[in-house]
Amino acid sequence: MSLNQSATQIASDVASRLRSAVDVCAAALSRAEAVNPRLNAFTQILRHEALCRARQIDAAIARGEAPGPLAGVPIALKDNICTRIGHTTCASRMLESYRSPYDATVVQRLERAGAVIVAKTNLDEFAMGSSTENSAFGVVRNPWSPDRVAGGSSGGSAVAVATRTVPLALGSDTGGSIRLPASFSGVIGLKPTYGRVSRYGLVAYGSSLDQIGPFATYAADAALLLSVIAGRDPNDATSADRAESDFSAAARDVDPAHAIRKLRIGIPREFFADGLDPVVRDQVEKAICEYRAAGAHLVEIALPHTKYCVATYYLIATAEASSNLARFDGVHYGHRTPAPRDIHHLYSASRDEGLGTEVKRRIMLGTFALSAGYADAFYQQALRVRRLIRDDYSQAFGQVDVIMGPVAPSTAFRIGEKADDPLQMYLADVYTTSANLAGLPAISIPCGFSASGLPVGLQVIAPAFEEARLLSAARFLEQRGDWHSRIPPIE
Amino acid sequence: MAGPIDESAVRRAAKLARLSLSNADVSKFAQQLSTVISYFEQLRQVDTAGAEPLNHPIEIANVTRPDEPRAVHCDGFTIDAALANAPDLHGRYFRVPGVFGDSGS
Repeated sequence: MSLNQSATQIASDVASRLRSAVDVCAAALSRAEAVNPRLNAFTQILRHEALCRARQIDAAIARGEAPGPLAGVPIALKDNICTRIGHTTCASRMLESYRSPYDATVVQRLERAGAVIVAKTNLDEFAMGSSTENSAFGVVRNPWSPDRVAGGSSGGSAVAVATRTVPLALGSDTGGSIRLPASFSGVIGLKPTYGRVSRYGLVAYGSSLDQIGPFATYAADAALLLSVIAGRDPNDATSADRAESDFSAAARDVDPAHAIRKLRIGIPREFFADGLDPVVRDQVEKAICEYRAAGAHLVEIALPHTKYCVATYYLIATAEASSNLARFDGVHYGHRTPAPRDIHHLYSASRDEGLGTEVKRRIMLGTFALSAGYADAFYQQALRVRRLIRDDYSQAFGQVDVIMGPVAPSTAFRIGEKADDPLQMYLADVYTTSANLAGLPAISIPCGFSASGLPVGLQVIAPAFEEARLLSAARFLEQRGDWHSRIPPIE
Repeated sequence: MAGPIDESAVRRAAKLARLSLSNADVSKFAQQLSTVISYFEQLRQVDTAGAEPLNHPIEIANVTRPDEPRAVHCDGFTIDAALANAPDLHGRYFRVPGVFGDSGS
């Protein structure tokens, strides 16, 4: 089979019995097993469970049952999404042997749509990181240059798609964790509007920021997957009560140039200021020129609080994390210290042994942010700045339809380069955190390569619930270049 | 305003967060957290007069249901399933060391 086959094509072939779900699944499993020793993208490859599910789908189709829009499509899920099959580890010693007693809402929706979960993907422990170096199961390597990071925290999901192991994967994005690895690995990564996708069964990191979203090679596939997972869920009080949307129309548009003509594109000057690698700037500007050549209007805009986004994000996210991760106490599930002296030692030793360094660092930061003497000066101030950041966007979207800029200030950096300097690592999120703080949908679209062959991503941000604009922008760019269809060499 | 992040401040926060950090972690965190917290200081320059704290990006309303007994989860989230990951059980109870005094387990 062609490695560049789309999910849309696979579902159509399986539904019409041109190919069996079992054959498709077996090919994805072999590819995962070939890729993993070199790139470490998967925490688990679910060979037995996936083949069982594929056989059920083939049998249902043979009985004449409607197979669903993702019939037989292999998919990989970030290992912080709860599945009853396999383990749900969050790449943490704390949950190394944890088996979820329930499926996340997105998993239930995927099953109903006929998708086959073939693997759980590696991540920064509890999704805390920008490089997937903070995994208890080892670093994920960049398929374009294995001495470099794949980006994080959804590094494994990005690599699963970049290597064409699967046409689709799910990740989660709290401050850029879908878009950053998508940019570093050369695939599409979409963070939906906060509330678009249920968070039920996503292990919580920063609850007011977390959102599950798709990775894909093709815009149409990202649209298909978003259509399957989006929608109101009574199990998530923050899931939005919107009419379900079919996003496929946006990406399948016969003439995407039609959607681009007269599109007003905001270019925030703060996204092109000091600190942006000229290699990234060149590729992003070239991509933006493609839209202008198709009739879009470029409008220079200001997002004046951009320079405060990283500080605001890391205060709010770590405050929420310190509360969310209090549940890992060695009592109900997860790691327990082998010989607790008393109840306090049970809590603190289990947490010390089970959690990795970056997770502890963020719990500590969040504890400071919420403690007496700091809460007003830092946490409450961060929440006020958050409102100003959201107001910047509201004002900008009065003038423009979408905003474009880089995803990250650089291409993929070397493994270990920022490992001992947390602040430098946090600054990799300088262009991504504001969409989470404001709750807006944003996408990373492959838009070029550096001279040394590293991918560059274009970030597009839209008003709340306007994911369709992001998908048609992605569809347009994939018709203008071959960046999305290049495959990294896998020995 | 709170003091600098020295080792005793780290130990105090670690106790609040129920983390028994090693001495090496305490000294590393004192240095790294100081760097990050001084970076956070820039937020104090922002004029936020009139800006209400934004806790959540969307309007949320409480979700309620009729107060009637029902299965916790429609597809088999049983008591046994909820206990299956427990590190230590006594029958259908989670077992921990004594909570009051040093009465042991």
